[in-house]
Amino acid sequence: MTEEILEIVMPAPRTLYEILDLRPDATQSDVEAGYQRALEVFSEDSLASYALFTPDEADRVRKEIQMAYSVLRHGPSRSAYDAALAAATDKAAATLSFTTIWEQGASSLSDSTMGTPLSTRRPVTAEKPAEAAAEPEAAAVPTSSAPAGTRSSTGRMLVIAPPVEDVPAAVDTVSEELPPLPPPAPLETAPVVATPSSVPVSLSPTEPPAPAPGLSAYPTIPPTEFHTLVPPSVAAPTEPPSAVPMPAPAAPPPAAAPVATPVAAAPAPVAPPAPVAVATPAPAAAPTMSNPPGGPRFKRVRVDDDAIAANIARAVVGPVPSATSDAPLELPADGEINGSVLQRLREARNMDLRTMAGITKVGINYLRAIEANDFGELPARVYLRGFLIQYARALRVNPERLAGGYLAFADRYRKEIR
Amino acid sequence: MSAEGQGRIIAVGGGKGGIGKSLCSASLSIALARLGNRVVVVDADLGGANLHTCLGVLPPLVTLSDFVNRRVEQLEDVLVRTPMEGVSMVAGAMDMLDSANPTHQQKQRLIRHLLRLQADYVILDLGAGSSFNILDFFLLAEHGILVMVPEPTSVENAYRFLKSAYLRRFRTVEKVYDIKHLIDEAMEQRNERGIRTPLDLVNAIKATDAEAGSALEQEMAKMRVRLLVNQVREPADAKVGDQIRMACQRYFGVNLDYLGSIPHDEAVWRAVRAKQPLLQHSPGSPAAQAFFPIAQRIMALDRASIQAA
Repeated sequence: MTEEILEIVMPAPRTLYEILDLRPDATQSDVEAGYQRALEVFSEDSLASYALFTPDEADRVRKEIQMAYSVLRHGPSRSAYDAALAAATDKAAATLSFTTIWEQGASSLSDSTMGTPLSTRRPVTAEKPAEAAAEPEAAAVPTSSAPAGTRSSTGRMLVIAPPVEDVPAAVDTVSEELPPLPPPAPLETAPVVATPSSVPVSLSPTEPPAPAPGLSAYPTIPPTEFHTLVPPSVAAPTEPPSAVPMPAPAAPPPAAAPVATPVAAAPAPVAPPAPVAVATPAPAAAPTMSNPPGGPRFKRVRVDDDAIAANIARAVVGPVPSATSDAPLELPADGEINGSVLQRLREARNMDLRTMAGITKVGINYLRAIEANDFGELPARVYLRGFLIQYARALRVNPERLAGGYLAFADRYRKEIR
Repeated sequence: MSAEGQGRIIAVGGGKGGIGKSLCSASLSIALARLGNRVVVVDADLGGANLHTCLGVLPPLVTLSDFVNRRVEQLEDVLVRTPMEGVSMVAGAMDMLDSANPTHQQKQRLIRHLLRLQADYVILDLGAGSSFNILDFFLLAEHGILVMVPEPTSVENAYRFLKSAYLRRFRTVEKVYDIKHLIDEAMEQRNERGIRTPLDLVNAIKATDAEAGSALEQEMAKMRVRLLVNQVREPADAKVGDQIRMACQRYFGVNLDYLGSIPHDEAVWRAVRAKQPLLQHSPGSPAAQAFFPIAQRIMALDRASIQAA
């Protein structure tokens, strides 16, 4: 609960530069120095901060510092952020949106690449189908649909896949899982695209570093984390590609299909060929046809779900151009109403989280948690319902349907996790 | 020199007693005078005046008390000269009983006269504590210098002082902009909206009413708090000033200007024992020398603010 409050207490109120007490023209060594200095100021035994901040608050500030550093330390991610800042009129809001996206990208990256050898990461975010085809699992798949199928099998990498030309529509859709925010359009794909190999290490300074030899090392994520672990076989680079329904390149996926996708792709209890270096085609990694029905218990992975949900939302709501932001919005008639659907609706209204918070008077971090399906961060059902009603009113959609739909989704989800 | 011959007011406070406020006021006044300014230093420590000793002056016959209680009409009438060229002084009230808590009227009159003094700088040596009277003088100043020593007790008191000053300023702005209802509303939902620090509150008000929030933000940013770290013993202590600036930025959303630090120096103790100004008794001592860059920093800030205006 404390953490929950803190989340709201410490919105990123400033630019990432300000968090590290830097000027926007700081050199990389300035960034390093600023990071060290900021850590010192908010360290537990700091004379300068102990009387101003409670330990929890200081902890929160330290996280903020880590976040700022993780973006600013790399040229590409920093450039992306700079571009976002330059494009934004409200710097604080830009930072907020950027870091939200960044965090999502980060969690997806760090989770899904945890068990993967570093050397395989770059190919995973392949920029060209040809490059992807170099991977064993891709090679086993018809070239046209390779990127789509293989990516979805390993889950969250979809989120950070760069927008690629000459790639089947399905991939394109997926790569936009985080839809562009109204003001700084190019920012959400840029940072993650730019540093595929280096980001995972730096992004989650509080998390243990990625284990080197791949799958044998099971990612250790703190139990409090909402993310459920992907069973090794799911993350396995040898995941049977054919288990994944391949949408035809030209045809957009049917609305319901994507949901089934990861579940269907749910791992067969294949003993994962542990330390396979994917970069070199491994003949041993013969595609195993998994049989979903009898498969092991599969825990859904949040970001993966979101990617799928976003696709549903896209399919149901359709891409809503900003010009229609005043047009009536419809909730998906029969689709699941989850966080991503809400997010899409909100963005269709051209509202950023801050605006939404201002209208609904619901704390921005509750809003964020709602959209991220982060139920652990949300208050008791009755309050959540109140939030959702406010949210729906702000969107001018049917409050009962939105709240009811979301709560039903949340209930299902909670049951599933248990 | 500012317009109309008015002095720029420098208030020296810090919440805690015994951290060298009077010594800093005296030394700073001398340093500023040596740099070509006419300086009046006022012992506004209404409860425990001893600035005169730091300036090498015997307890004067006329004090601030005479002015406050209207035994004299003009503040100039209680101005006394000091051995230091360019520095004159208003001694503190010795009969503190009736002066420690001046009425609102008395205070307004004092402020009026302070603003009219013919000087380049008017330095107010404030007493310990965070009472309204002290805070009001601090907030009035062009430069509110917060003196602290790198010790937990002093840092805690300095923060308490700063919080009180911030709140006091906040209340004034709140009246001016008539936004009390917004603040009350935000504070009622402080838990739901996670309002813990002053910065949170300003942000929350901005979210509700962007215009009022920006006005509030701008007004609060006008707090001209400067930081002076005294009695620095270790190299690590020298960092404390900058660290406190960063912590305050995060907490209050207000930019402090870190003026610099004064090293711990036995010469200070010897000068006080000799009842002489530090800069006269041991002009070459590290502590005495440290006041010059600080004086220059203050003058540079003034030049910058003149240019900005």
